[in-house]
Parts: sequence; structure tokens; C-alpha cells
Amino acid sequence: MRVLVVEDDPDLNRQLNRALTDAGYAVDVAMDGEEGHFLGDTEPYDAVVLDLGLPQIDGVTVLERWRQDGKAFPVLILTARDRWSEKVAGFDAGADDYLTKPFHTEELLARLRALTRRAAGHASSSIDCGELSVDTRGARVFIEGAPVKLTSHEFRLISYMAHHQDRVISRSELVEHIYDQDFDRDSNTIEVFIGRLRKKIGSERIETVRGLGYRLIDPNAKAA
Amino acid sequence: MIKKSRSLLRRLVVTATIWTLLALIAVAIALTTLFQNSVLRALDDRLEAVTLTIIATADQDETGRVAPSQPPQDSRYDRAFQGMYWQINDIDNGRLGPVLGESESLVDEVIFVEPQAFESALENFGQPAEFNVKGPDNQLLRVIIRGVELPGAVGRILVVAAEDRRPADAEVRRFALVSVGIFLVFGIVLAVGVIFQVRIGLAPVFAMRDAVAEVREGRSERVVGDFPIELQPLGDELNSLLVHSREVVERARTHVGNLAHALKTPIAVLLNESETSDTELAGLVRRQTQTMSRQVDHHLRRARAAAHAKAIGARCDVGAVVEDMTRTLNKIYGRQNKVVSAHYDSGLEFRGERQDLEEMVGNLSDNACKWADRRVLISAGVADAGQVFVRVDDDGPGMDAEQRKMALQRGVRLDEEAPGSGLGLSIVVDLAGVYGGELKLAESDNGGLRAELLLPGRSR
Repeated sequence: MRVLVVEDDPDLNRQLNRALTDAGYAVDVAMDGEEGHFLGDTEPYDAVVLDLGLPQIDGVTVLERWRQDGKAFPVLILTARDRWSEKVAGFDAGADDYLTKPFHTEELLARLRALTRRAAGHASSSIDCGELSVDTRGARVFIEGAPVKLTSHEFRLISYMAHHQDRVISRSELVEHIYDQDFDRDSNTIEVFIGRLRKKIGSERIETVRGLGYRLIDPNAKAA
Repeated sequence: MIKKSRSLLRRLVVTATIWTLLALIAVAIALTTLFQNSVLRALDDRLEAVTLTIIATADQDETGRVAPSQPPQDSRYDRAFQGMYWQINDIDNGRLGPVLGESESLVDEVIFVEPQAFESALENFGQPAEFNVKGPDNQLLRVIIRGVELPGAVGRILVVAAEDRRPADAEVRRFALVSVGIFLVFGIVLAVGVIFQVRIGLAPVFAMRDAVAEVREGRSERVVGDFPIELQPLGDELNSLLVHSREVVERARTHVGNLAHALKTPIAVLLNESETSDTELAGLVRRQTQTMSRQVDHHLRRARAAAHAKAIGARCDVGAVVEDMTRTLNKIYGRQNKVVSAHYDSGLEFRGERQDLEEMVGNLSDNACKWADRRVLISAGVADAGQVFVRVDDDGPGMDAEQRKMALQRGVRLDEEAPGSGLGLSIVVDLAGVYGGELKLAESDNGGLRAELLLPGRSR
């Protein structure tokens, strides 16, 4: 899962970056509206945390431009503006959630999880695929109730595949959604991660669709 | 002299009426006096003529009596006490002598000659002198005397002509009465005219008063009207004052918003950072920052409320606000399968700032959504006595009477599970109070809580 944080306060920006990375997200940050708008326009994010009072371009304007360009990623507005008129304006511009400062980090993470889950069409915080269960809240993976130890990149990969388990996911899409923009992208590393994951959760759970990509499957359901 | 009146109309009418009345009384007195003088003058002229007639033919007969051989031609001289008399006195060494002759009408009476007038007649011998004296039959006589020297033994005599002046006085009184009546009618007509004139003259002032009331009641944003040049500057000043007032409010709000943004981000940073550590310092920072955050919230909201109350003439459409809130809350709570619906009369107007109505309706509906099971209904309409109501019903657990009473007390938080809503309710109570409205809590028909706002407003 890859998120964009647009926040002009450097300390808060750093805190958000750390908290989201710890929670298992690939995080890109922008310090002003222009940079934020550019990143959102060019990179495929799974969610965006957007401040409203931004230098260069105002947050609401950034959001409106994204929506006009057909960007559908969920956007959580994080702002000090707590008036209802501002909330109305935020939601009307296309926001999916609205959190006012000061806020609890747990609250932000919970809302972000809910947004990404809902965007992928899942209702509960735990996404299951047969015996495999991805706990988005605790950033953990279980097989038949037993926890599986994963690195953060491995978790991002399995989490993204679990969110979109109904379809085949290309290698390049996986690259885009599990690395932040500063990472040295090499699609070959995806094969390495897939190989490691198969070892940890069982190779039958990840299907390779030749020429297209990978899909998370429930081997028992397929057998039946 | 004029009682201090707070009505401009009354001052003008009373002053104008008093002056008119005084002028009319003065004219009436002057006219009556003139008329009286003229009547008296005519009487004197007649009497002077009588003295001349008597002198022309006066002669002494053998008995020593002096009488005119051709007395004045009027039957009233011949019958007793008919009001017209003549008399001839002897003048004896400058003193009034015995009566030498008189008209038949006098019978046995004598006209008393006033000594002062007699002196005057002697001094200007041959010239008439006049005086008033009581005559027979309680008559009031006007008397003209004239001294004359007859040839022969008679020598100096005094001719006295008198006439009852009461008919003349009665005529003067009649004239006075009629003129007072005429002037009274004239005065009333003038007073009515003055009232009309003042009303017409002050009409622009009343028009301006109404225009200001329109602004005050929120029906107009500025003082509009075609005012005369004397009042136009006042209207312009009022309008620029209104614009200024709105600008001040807008500036205050902008400042408050900037301050909120400036303070809340550092507070968020401090809170988040302190929560990542368990040291004593982190705990201290966390507690103090939480206190700061509450204080900032509290004082910013009070500053906003104070800034809003000063803005006059503000109004906003209730329906639009209800629509905004319904749309936004459906986005927020739709994911929890809660449905917010709205039902309101069109053309409802709240007399106040739109942002304040949004805060009140937003906080109430947000509370309702937090507690609702499935449905929240926002309704709005006209209440009585120049008020509109906005009602929020939910189908949640509701509150009992004791809880409702507690909830309306400021700063009391009932709900520990749903953060922030306790503060939200006290903001609503505060804001409603600023506008002279009120918040009522009751049981909803849907089983939950009903929060009803009563606010100044009307249906357009």
C-alpha cells in the first residue's frame, strides 16, 4: 500500500512519514500544494493524507484538480480548519474523510486503513483468502491463526494482493504500489519477494499468470 | 416653554401650533380694538354734531331757560329715558352752574358732568371733550361737552350731548365673538395644515427609519432609499458603517482561522511526539499540550461567537445549510450504513451568520449521527414569534430527563465514548444564546433524542 502525505509543517510531515512507514505503508511526502498535486497526478497512490492550508496551491484546489483529472484514490483531509463550512467544502471537493488537528496517530491510521479497505471493497479490518488472513490493523499475516513473520516489503506485497485478490496484478503495478518514489525500482526484485513470500505462506497461494502477473488464491477453493 | 418631547413630529407640531395660536389671538385682539375705536368714534362724531345743532339755535326764553329753537330731530329726545339726551349748563366764573335746559327724555334726571372733562372743555373752549358716566335707568352714557359763549345776557354755557353706549358695546362684543369663532376655525385649519406639512417634510426621515429597520431585521444589506440631499450623507455613512462592520467581522474571522491553523499544527506535532515516548518529560509535555489544545479551542470559539454577534444585517438560507449538512454527513456516515434525510420548508431565512448556523446544525446532526442506529432526520420550518426551528431526530438510545438537563449545562460531557460531542453541544448552546435563540432537548418520535434549535428568522 502506497500513500502520499501532503503537509507543509516539516515536523508533522516527518512524524506522519514515520508513523505510516511503521504501519507498513510505502510513503511519499510533499511539502507544498504544487509538489503534492504533481505526485498525486503522476503516481498511483492507494491513499492520500492532505493538509488544506498549503503553500503554492491550496489543499482544496489540489483535491479538485485530482478529481477533475479522474483520480479516484481515497483522500483523507488532515487540517486545523474545524468549521463545518470547511468540512462541507472539503467533502464537496471530493474528500473521503476529514480529520482535524490535533489528532491521535492511531485515529489517523484507523481511518486510513478503513479508506484503503473500502476503496478495495472490503468491509472488515481483516482480509481473508482461505486460511490466509491479513490483519490490516496490526500489519500482521496469519495462516490458520498462526502468525507469519514478514518484512515490511513482504507485508506490503501480500497486503496489496489481498486487497485486490479478485484480479491478476501485474509486476509493474506491484512495483508502483509497494515502493515509495525514492526507491530504486527494479521489477526483478518483485520476483525475489514473491519467491520469499511463497516460501513463508506456501507456494500454492500465489498463482503466476504467465505474461500478466500474479494473483493471490485460496488453494482449497480451487480444488473444490 | 415647550415640554421636552422625544418625538420630532410632536415637537414641530406643538411649536408651530403654539406660535400660530399666539399670532391669531394677537390679531383678534387688535381687530376688536380697532373696531371698538371706530364704533366709539362714530358715536362721538354723532354727539359732536348734536352739540353743534343745539348751539346753532340755542336761545334764552322769558323764563330764563335756555333751549335750542330747533332741537335735534329724534323722537328719542322726547320720550323718557330713551337713551338720547341733551342738557345745557350755565358756566359761572369758570365753574359749572345750574342746568339751564334739557331734553324731555331726561325727565327729572341730570347728567353729571365729570370735573376733569369740564376743565378740559374750559381750557379748549369751543372744542368738544368726552367722558363716560352712569345715566338714568342704569344706562352707561357716552357724553360730549362743548363750551360756547352766546350773545346777550346768557354768556357762557356748556352744551352736553349724551347717548347710551350699551348698544355700541354690545355690537363690539358681537364682533369680538364672531372674530374669535372665525379665528378658532382658522387656527384649527392651520394646525391640521401644520401636521400635514410636518408629516410630508419628515417623510424622508421616517423612510430612513424604515430602511434602517429593514437592515436591522436582516431584510436588506444596506440602507436603500431616495433621500433628500440633507439626509443622503447620513444614509451613505450608515452604509459605509455597515460595510465596515462586515469587514471587521470578516477580518476577525480570518485572523482567528489563521491563529487556529498556526497553533493547531504545533500542538499536533507536540502531542504525537510525546506519545511515542514514556519519559516523565514526554508525559508533562503531553498533559500540558492537551491543556493548551483545550484552551485554544475554547477561546477561539468564544472569539468567533463574539465577532459574529456584532455583525448586523446578516441572514442566510436555512434550507441550503440543511442540504450541505445532509450531503456531508451522508458521506461521513454512509459507510456506517446510517442515512441522514432532510425535510424543510423552502425560503426559510435565519437572521445571522451562515457559518454560525452551520456550526449549530453541523454539531447537532453530527452528534445525532454518532448515536443513531440507522436514521437521522433534519427538519426545519417556521416556529411562532419571528423564529425558525431546526430539529434533529435520531433513532439512537436517547437521553432521560436528567441527562438532557445535564447536557444543556455548559462544558458538561456526557459521552466518554464519542469524543468531542460534549464540547459540540456547549458550542451550540453558546451560539444560540448569542442570537437570542435556544436549544431544547426532547424525546424523538423515532425513539432517540430530538434536539430542537429555535432561532430568529422567518419565511420569505
